[in-house]
Amino acid sequence: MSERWDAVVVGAGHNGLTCAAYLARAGMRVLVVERREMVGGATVTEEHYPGFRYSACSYVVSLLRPWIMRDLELPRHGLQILPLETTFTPFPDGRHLLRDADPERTRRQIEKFSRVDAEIYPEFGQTMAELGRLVKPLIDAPAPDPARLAPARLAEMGTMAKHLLDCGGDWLAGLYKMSTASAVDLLSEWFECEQVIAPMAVSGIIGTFLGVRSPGTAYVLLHHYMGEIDGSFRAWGLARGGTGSVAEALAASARELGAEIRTGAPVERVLLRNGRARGLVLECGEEIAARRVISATDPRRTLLGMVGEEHLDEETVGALSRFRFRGSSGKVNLALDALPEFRALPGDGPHLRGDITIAPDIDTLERAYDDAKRGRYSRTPFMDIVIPSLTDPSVAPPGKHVMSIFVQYAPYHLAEGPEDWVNQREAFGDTVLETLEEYAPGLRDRVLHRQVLTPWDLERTYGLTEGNIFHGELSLEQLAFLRPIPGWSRYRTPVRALWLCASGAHPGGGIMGAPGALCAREILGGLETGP
Amino acid sequence: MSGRAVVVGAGVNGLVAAVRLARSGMAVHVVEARERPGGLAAAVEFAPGYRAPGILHDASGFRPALARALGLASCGLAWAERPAVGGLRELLAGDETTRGLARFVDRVAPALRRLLDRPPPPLQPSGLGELWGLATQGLVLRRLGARDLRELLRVLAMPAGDWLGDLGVEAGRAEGLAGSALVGSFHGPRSPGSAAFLLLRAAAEGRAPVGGAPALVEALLRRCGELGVEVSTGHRVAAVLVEGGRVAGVATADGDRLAADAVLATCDPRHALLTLLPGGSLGIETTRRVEGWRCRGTAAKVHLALARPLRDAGEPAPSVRLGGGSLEALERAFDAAKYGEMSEEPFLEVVQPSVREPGWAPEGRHVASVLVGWAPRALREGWDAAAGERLLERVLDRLERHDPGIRDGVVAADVWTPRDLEERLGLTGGHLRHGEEGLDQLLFMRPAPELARYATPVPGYFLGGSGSHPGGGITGVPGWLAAGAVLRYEG
Repeated sequence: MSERWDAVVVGAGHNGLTCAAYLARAGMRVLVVERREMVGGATVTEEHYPGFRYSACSYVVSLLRPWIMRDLELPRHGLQILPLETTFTPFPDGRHLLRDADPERTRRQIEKFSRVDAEIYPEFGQTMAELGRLVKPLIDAPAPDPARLAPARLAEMGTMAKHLLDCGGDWLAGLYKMSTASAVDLLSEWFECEQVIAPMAVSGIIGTFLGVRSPGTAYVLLHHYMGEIDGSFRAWGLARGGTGSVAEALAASARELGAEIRTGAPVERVLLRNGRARGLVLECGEEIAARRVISATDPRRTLLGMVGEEHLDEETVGALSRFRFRGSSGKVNLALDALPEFRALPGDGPHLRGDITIAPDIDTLERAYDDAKRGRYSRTPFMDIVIPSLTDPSVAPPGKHVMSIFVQYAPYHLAEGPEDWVNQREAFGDTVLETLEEYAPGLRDRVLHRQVLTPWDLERTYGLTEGNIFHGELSLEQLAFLRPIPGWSRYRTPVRALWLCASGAHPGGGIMGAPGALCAREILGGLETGP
Repeated sequence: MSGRAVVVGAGVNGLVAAVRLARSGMAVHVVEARERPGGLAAAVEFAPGYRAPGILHDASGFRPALARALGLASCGLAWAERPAVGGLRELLAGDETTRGLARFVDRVAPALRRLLDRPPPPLQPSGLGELWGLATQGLVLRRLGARDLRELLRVLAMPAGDWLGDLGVEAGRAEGLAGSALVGSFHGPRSPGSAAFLLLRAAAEGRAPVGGAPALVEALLRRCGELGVEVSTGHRVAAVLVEGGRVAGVATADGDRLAADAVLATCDPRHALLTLLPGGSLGIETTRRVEGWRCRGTAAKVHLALARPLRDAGEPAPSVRLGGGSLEALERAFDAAKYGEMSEEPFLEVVQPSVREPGWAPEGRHVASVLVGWAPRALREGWDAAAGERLLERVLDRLERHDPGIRDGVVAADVWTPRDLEERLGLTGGHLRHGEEGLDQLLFMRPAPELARYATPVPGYFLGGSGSHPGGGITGVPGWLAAGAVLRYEG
């Protein structure tokens, strides 16, 4: 059988598209097949209420690698990132903290809570930015495996080791601390005031099944300081037109480079011959022959779902079933008749144009996590909110607004079982609105439409196993060379010619594009130049 | 180095350090604040004729090789056939679901012990010697083979609960394993890194000395006597004297000045560096790091004099672990501690030395030493007498549920709340291991990168307690390694 395709990619999320674009750019004949009728995966803009366009799942863009933006000419393909400039935290007692890029204004804001914390805040930011800079080479390259010292890899290990040693002992200690400490413990070494610590600590738990006091969360915090748009640190942005625009720009780029994209084409299984992936069988029965198959779905779905246990050895099956997902977050999208009024800072203003964090104190955050551990959604959840329509009027009718609320914790594994989310979905949505109502009275009356996405919905609709937004927990034991399964080498799987190119592989989740690009580079045999 | 050394604290680490220094020709003076030597390893005589085997009742981490190096065999130290507490390895090996885990622990234990028996690997190797050390350490790890090495690195980062859960370990057994590894820590079984506690404890433990920790203290004291080490008890060191930028000796609370060329402190790092040293000796960065040293104690201790033995499955129990019966219950116990509450269902590690050895209690009577998990030092309502009573009640309730009637057998009880541990034993935060042992406070981070090789920024002043690598428990290794640093010190 002669193959028409050099590579077929399963899933047109941002990583699948990135991988396809790089392969096409290198001259390969590439086909992307997507189950849904639209591209984007979890990077989509959807209209569930006329005139209001929700960034249904992911909502901010920051980790998207700048070199990918350049290589694939995403701005030319219509991608525009609008910066989010403030972080606003209202407190139940009516006070608030508003941080932005202006050091003097931010200092005065923090001073309301603690003079000492206001003094140290800039130094903390610089330290984190510097640590982020040191970590970046690690996420822009495949992760070296200390247990595999092949001569070809020695040079790479050497480079990495030299990079780390060049950092200097103090910074190395800092990095080690970041990857092992809890967000609260780390922040408590710098700051004394809960109102300063709690809003910063939540960056460490986004998308994880961990609490702000759990070891390892400081690392996720660092990840969030690595966000960069145009090279400026701690910069978060919104894609004009919603996050779906990221996928659309990637799709346009991939198409221009020669890749073909087919939507509405769910995959039934991977075609195997002599233990080697040779293409796909679609649900409609069509066979697509290809020299290699690249999966942008998560590792478990790829191997247990599309390859099948019967083709895998026992150890692989065991490791895949131990790979942890445990989705922990939900999303509530609102169409609003008017802007919310926060009790702590009434009226319109810069505070509504950035990130709004509901994180009143450490114990509340920790109790929210305790709820999740016991299989129920948090009764006083942590929320990360943006109102994109203020920055990008194209997503709502004039004078109306869209509010995106990321909610934690909403555990996939409810005590009653995940399928009970169908019964608890609206109660969960109500809890979110009730909690917000305390901070922004009258909000409920301004809601024209709401979309509640539970982890169960994220799984059903977007194919995110157990509703995990990162295709598998970003916990220490599932990072770097251990991701997804220890011993799997650099985007390969135990099935020959079957590759993984999405968040379930190093360096993990978020709208980053790195797994897709690095997988492509690995397939092309390291011919591609890096950042 | 030769000359005079003062060792602060006559616990196991202090005595081990003193022996090593004296054997190399130094004149050594050990100064202990309490009336009796031994620190956390000293026997606690809490009722006439009843002795508890130390605040830390498990001496199975003290290794025969170290005893040989110190020359303790001639001082009457003998080894029991098995650990005093049913050891974690024993517990692992005793069941189908965990037997594979036991084999894994056996395979990686030599590599881990090698890591724990030497000074921590330097963050920035300076000189060929250190590079060579690092390389050989790397080789030892490599020799494990790719599969075990990857598994080891994976497990070190994991929550203990997930690790045990993956193997399908039965709930009560999993709780016992995780509970004993985590008791006294600020980790629950769901905390990332908690599997490392279990792995490291299991890898480090061996046979315990006959007579437990107190016998070890006796042997060390005898060896100190042989070597001419002076041990003064009832003298609290109030300050370390610094003259001309280097250590000159110590001053005791009762006004004595002891001159020394080197001082080795085995108390916890916060006390050793922030209380004993003159202000400004450390520099801003180091001071900040030491102030940030986390030692939130979460354990209490209860000693019971019993008219009849505590039984497990009908038999007098040398040791038993009791909790809520599952990892979830253990996690709830930890959750309470996070909010400054005493857990409703505390985890108990009970050792009853009188079942196997005579001499702990009057004939026919027994002693139970109970380590109580997740009673936070930072109790919201504070640790007053009433809180101590409540703690004792919870412990007795739990024991009664396990062995009905045992309550009536209690002849005397001795309660050490975390506050007692802090105030009577000088443990900052009431922390039994001189500081938490999360991954971020281990190895070259213990207690801070610039302090991890036992020397401090003050020439001649050294740290050698549980707050230094390889950490807490009755191992003597921090003391041994710190003494090595003193001997290399040029003065």
